[in-house]
Amino acid sequence: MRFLLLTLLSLLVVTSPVSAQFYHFGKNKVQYEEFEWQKMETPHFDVYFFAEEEELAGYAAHMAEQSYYDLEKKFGHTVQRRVPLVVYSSHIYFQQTNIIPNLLPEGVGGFTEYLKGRVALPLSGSLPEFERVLHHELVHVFTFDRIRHVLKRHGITEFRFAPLWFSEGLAEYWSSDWGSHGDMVIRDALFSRRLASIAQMHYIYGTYQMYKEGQSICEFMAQHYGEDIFERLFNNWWRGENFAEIFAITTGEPLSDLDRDWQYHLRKRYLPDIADSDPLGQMATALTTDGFNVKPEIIPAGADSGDVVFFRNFQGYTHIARLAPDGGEPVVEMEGERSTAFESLHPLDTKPAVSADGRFLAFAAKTNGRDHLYLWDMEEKRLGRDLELANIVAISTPSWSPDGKRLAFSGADKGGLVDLYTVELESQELVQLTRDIYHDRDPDWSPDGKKLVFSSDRWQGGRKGRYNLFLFDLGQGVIRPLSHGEHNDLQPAWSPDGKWVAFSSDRDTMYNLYATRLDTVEGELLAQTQRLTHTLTGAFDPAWQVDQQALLFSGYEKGRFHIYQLDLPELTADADSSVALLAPTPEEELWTLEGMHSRSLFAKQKYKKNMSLDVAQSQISQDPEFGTSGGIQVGLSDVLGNDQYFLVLSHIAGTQTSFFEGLNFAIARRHLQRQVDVTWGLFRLNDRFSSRFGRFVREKRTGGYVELSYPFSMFSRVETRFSVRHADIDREFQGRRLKGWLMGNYISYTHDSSLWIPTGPLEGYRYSMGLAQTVDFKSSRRFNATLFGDYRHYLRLSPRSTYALRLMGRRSYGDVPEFFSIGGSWTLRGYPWRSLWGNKMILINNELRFPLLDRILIGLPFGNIDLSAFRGALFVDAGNAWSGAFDEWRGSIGGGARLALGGGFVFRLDRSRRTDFKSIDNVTRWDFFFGWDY
Amino acid sequence: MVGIIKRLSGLLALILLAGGCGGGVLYIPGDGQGGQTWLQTGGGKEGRAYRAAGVEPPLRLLWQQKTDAPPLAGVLFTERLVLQQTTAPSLYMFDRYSGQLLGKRGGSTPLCGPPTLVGKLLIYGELGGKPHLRAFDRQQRKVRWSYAGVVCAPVVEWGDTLLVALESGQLVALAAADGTELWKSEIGGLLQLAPAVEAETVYIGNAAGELIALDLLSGTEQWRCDLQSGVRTRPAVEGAYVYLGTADGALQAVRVDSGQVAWRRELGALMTAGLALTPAVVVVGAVDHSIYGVARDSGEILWQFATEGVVRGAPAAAGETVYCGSADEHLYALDSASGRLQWKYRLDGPALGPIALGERMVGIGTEKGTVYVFGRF
Repeated sequence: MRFLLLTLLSLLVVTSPVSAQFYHFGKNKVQYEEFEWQKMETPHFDVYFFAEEEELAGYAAHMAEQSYYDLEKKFGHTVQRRVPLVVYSSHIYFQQTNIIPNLLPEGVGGFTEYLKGRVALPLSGSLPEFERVLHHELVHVFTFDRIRHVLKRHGITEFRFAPLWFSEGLAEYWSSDWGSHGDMVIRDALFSRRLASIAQMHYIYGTYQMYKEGQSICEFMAQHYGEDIFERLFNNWWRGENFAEIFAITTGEPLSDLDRDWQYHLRKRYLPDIADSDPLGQMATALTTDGFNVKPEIIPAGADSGDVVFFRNFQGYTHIARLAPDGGEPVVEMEGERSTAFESLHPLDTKPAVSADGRFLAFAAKTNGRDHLYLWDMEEKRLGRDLELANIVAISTPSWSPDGKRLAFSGADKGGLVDLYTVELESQELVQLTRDIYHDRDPDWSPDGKKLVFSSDRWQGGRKGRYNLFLFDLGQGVIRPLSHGEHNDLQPAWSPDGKWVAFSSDRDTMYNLYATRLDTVEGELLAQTQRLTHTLTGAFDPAWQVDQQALLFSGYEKGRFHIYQLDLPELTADADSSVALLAPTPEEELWTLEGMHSRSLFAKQKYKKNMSLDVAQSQISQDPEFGTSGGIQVGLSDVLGNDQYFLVLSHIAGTQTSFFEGLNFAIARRHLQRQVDVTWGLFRLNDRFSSRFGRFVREKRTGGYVELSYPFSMFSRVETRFSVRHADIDREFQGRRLKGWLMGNYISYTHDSSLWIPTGPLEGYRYSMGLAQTVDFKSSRRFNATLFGDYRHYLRLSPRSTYALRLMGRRSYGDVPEFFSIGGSWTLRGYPWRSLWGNKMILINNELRFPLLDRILIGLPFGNIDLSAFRGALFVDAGNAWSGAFDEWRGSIGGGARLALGGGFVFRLDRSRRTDFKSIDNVTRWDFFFGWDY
Repeated sequence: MVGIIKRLSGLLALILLAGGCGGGVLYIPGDGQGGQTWLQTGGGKEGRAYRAAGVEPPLRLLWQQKTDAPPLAGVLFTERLVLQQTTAPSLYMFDRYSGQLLGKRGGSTPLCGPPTLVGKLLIYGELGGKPHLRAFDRQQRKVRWSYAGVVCAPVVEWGDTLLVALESGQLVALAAADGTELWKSEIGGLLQLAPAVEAETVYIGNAAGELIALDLLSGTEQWRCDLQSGVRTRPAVEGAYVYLGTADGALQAVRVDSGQVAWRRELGALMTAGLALTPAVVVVGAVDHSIYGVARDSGEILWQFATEGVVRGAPAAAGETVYCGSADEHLYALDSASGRLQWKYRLDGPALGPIALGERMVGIGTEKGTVYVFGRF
C-alpha cells in the first residue's frame, strides 16, 4: 500500500518537531495478494512473474524478444541495457503494483516507467491484445532510449521529450493496424467538429481520442514522408529544441503543413461516409443526454417490466442506473465506486444482467482485490447475495439461465486466461465450460436454456485479435461457430423468442448492429443475418425489448456514450446471407501461440531484491542567519518497488558547533509487498526548526521509529507509529529547555473517497481522526497527549460546482503540550499566516466552488501560456487557536479564484474581510497560496 | 623499421607541439593527404571505398585512444596524422603511427556532418544561429573561407572543385581555394548524403526518393530517376551502374546512361549510409544485424553475414576484404566474394560509424569515444 504522497514525506514526519499530528489523505493502493516472484532472463529482458503465471511469462518473454527485434530494425537502434518486464496475469493484480505510486485506472493497459526503464503490463484476457500492448510499451522503451542516446551522443544533458500525441501515436501505429475504433473516434470527431489539430492537442491530452489522432498522424506521416521518417526524426532529435523544429529540420516543411495536409486527408477519407450512414440521432432515440452511459439491460418482468438498467457515470462515480421506458431522468439503482464492496464495476468490460422474474440484478464488482458476483435485489433495494468464487480473480458479463438457478460468465483464474463458467446459485458449484488460451467473452444464455452464444477469438482470425460468434451446446459440450469473417462480432444477445441473436459488428469498418436468425432446415441449422443500423460512429451492446419491437444499445457520438432505442422494422433475414452453421472447429484450425509452453524455454530463478537508485540529489545553501548547510538525499528500491530505502544526510556548518553537532541524518526503510505496510527508521537531528506557529525551537533528537499502516480498502486505513527518541529541546520563545528520553505513539483512522478535479476535491468526503501521546519514560510522566479530527465533505451542487465543508479540531494537553496554529490561505483566511496559536484549535470552513473559465490562453511574443481550470470560490471561515479558556470566534468572509497551473500546482488568491459574526470590518485582506483546495 | 618511423614521427610532432601550435598539431610540413583520405560514407570521389592493398587481415591493433565523445565521423588519415572529429565537438589529433595525442581543438558550435580533408583544408559544416560551411586552413590555423548554408553531408573534392550538398536541396560547386561559387543546381528534397562523381557526371540522391545525374562542369541536370522511396545510402558509381539504398529497404542499381533502374533487391531493412564496391560485389550493412554481399550485375544476394547488433556504419572494401563495424561491439573483416569471416576484433563499445582506410591502416571509432587504428606493421 502506498499513499499518493511523496515517499520522502515519511522522513519529514520524523523530522518534524511535532510529529503526532501529521496525517495525510489520499486513496490507498492495496496489496491484497502476496506473490512469490521469480525472474527469467532472455537475451534482452529480465521478465518478472509470479508462480501461477509462469506460462504467460514464458510467452511474454518470447513475444518481447520478437518485438525487440522488430523495433530494433524500425529504430535502427539497439537498447544498451536490459529491460525489466513485469507481467501480471490480471488487471486487478496490475493495479497493486508498487513500481509507480499512482493509482492505475482500469483504462490503463500497461505502462513504461522511465526512471529504471521498467515495463509493466497485465493480461486482459486476450493474448493478441497482450502482445499488442507489450509492443506498444516497447515502442516507448525504444523511443526513450533512442532519444536519450542521440542527445547524450551530442552532449545535450537536458532531455527533450516527445509530445505525448506523437509518442503514443507512434506506439499505437507500430503496435497495431488501424482499426474500427480508430475510424469511429476520428469520424465522430470530424462530424461533430471536435477534431483537435496538432496545435490543439492539449484539448484532448491523454484521452483515447489523442491516442487515435496520434496514430492517424503517424500513419499519415509514414505515407507522406516514408516509413523511415520516424528513424530520421530521432536521428535529428539533437538538432532542434522542440518537436516542431525537429520536424522542420527532418522534412524541410513546417509542422503546420503536416497539420493541414493530415486534416485534409481525413476529410477526403471520411466525409463521403455520410452518403451511406447517419448520425445516431437520425436513426434512433437517445434515452440519456449527459454523462457516460453503457450496457443497457431490460427488466423483462415484474412491476418494473420494461425499465432499463445500465452503467452510468455522470459525476465521477460509476453506478447502475434505472430508466423508465417513457423516459425521464435516470435514477440511481445502486451506488458504486464509493465503498469497499463495489470498488469498481468495470463498466468497460462487463454488463449487468437481470433475472427472468425481474427481481435480481447480477453484476460483477471488484471487492478486496478480486471480483465478486453480486445479486442485487431490485425490489428491496439491497444486496441479495455476494458470491466470492474460489480461484476466480476476474469476472465479467454474467448471464442468467432462464430458470434463474444459474449464471454463466467469463472468468479468469490466477493464471490470467479467460474462460466460460457457470455457477449454481444455490450450491455455488462452479463448472468450467472452456479451458484454453482463447478469450471467451460476452456469454448470453438462450431462452430455451440449452445454449450459450458468446464471442471469442477461437478461430484463425483470432490470432490477429478478431472475434467471431460461437454457440456452446450445454447438453453436448460442443462449440460451433455462428459467424465467420475477418471482423469483430461482439456482445451477442438472444431475442426473447430465441430465434434471433443481435450483436455488434465492425464488418463494414464501423460498429453497427446486426441480427442473425437461426432456423433448422432439413435438419441443418442455418444462420441468416440482417443489418439493423448504418451509423457513422458506433453502436454496441444490443438488448432486446420484451416485445422485440425495439433494441436498446450503447451508442458513441460526440465523444460520449449514451443509451439509444432503435425501433425495429420487421425482421427479415437476408436470404443471400444464409449460411449453414459450421461443424465444431477442428483442433488444427485453432491457432496456437509460439512460446506458450507449460514450462518456459527460458531459465527461471527466484527473485532477488537488487536495490537500485530512484533519486539522488544534493543541495548546499547559504543563509545569513543559519550559516552554510548542505545535504544529500538518496532513495533506493528494488525492481518491483516493494522494498524502499531513503537516506537523508545533511550538515549545518556553524562555526560554534563541532562537526558531529551539526550532522543530521535520517534513514528509513519501507516494506510494501504485503497488505500492511511497515516503515522503520533511525534519525539523528539537530537543528533550529521554525515551528508551525512562527517561533524557533532548537531541538536535538536521536532515536528510531516503527510505523504500520493497514489499508482496509482503497478508501480507508488505520495507521499507527511508535517512536523512541532522546530529545533536547530549547523552546527559545518560552525560555524553557526540556531534555529526556521520550516515547511517542499514535493511532489514526483515515477515510478518503473524494473525487478530484485539477484544483481540488469536487465530490465525496474524507476524514481522519486519531490520538497521540508522548511520554517521558524515565519519569513516566506524560509529556503530552493530543486528539485530532478532520472531516471534509464535498456536496456536488451541479456537475461542476460544489459546496465544501471542513470541520477540524485539535487539542493537546500534558506538561509540554503541542501547539497548533491557524491563519492564512489554507486555514483561516483574512488572518496572517499562523498568527493564531495555542494548544487547542478549531476550524470551520464553508466554501462554494464554481467554474469561471475553462481555459485561458495568454498570448506573448515568445509563445502562448495556456492555463486551464480557472475557478471561483465564495467562503465563510470560522475558528480560533488558543490556550486556556476559549475567548471568541474569529471569522472571515470573502471570495477568491483558483488557477490550475499544471503539474499539481494551483494558484489560490482570496480576498476577505474579518468578522466576529456580529459585524464585518471594512479592511480588505488578501491571501495567496500555491496548493490544492482543502 | 616501423619502430624508427614511429619514434621519428612522434619526435617531430612533439617538436611542433612545443613550438607553439596551441591546440595541437593539425598540420606537419609535407603532410598531404597522399591520396589516402576517403570519405567516410563509402569512400572516394566515386562513392566507393579505396581498394587498397596492405590491409588484409589479420590485422594488429596499432593503438587505441580515448576521446571525449562518440565520433561524429570516421577517422581521417593524413600522411602523418590521424584526425578524429567527435560530437563534443572536438577535433583530436594523433600521431598516425604511435597514436600519441598531439592535440585537441574544441569548439562551441555544433557540427552537422563529417569533416573532409582537402589538402591543407579541413572542410566542415557548422550549425548554430548562422550555419556555414567552413574551410579551415590547418597550416595557418584560421578559417580561409565560409559558405552559408546547412551542410550535413561530406564535401566531395574533384580536382580544384568542391561539391557541396546543401541540406535545403541545392548542390553547389565551389572553388576549393577560396570558396567561390562555380554553379548551383536545384535538386529538391532534403540532401543529407554526399554525391558521387565519375566520368564528369555527378550523381546525388535526395530524401524525396530521386537520383539525379548532373554535368560536373555546368551543374546541368542530365536525368532524374524516381526511386519511389527516399535515398538513404550515398550513391556508389562504377562502370554501368550507380548503386544505392532506399528507405523502403531496397538496394538498387541504376544505369548511368539512361537513369533506368536495372535491378532492385529487397533487403527489408534500413541500410548503412555508404556502400562498398569490389569488382563483382556491392557490400552493404543493415539494421537487421546483417552485412550483405550482392552481385553487382544481377542484384542477387551472394551472401549474408549475421552480426549480433544493428549495422549502421558504412563498410569499406580493401582488396578482397570488406571491413565493417557493428553495434555488437565488433569490427569484422569478411571475404568479399563469400562473406566468410576472416578476422574480427572485440571493441569497447558499439561501432556505429564508418570504417576508414589508410595506407596499411584501418581506423574505427566506438560510441564509447575510443579510436582504434589497426595495421599490418
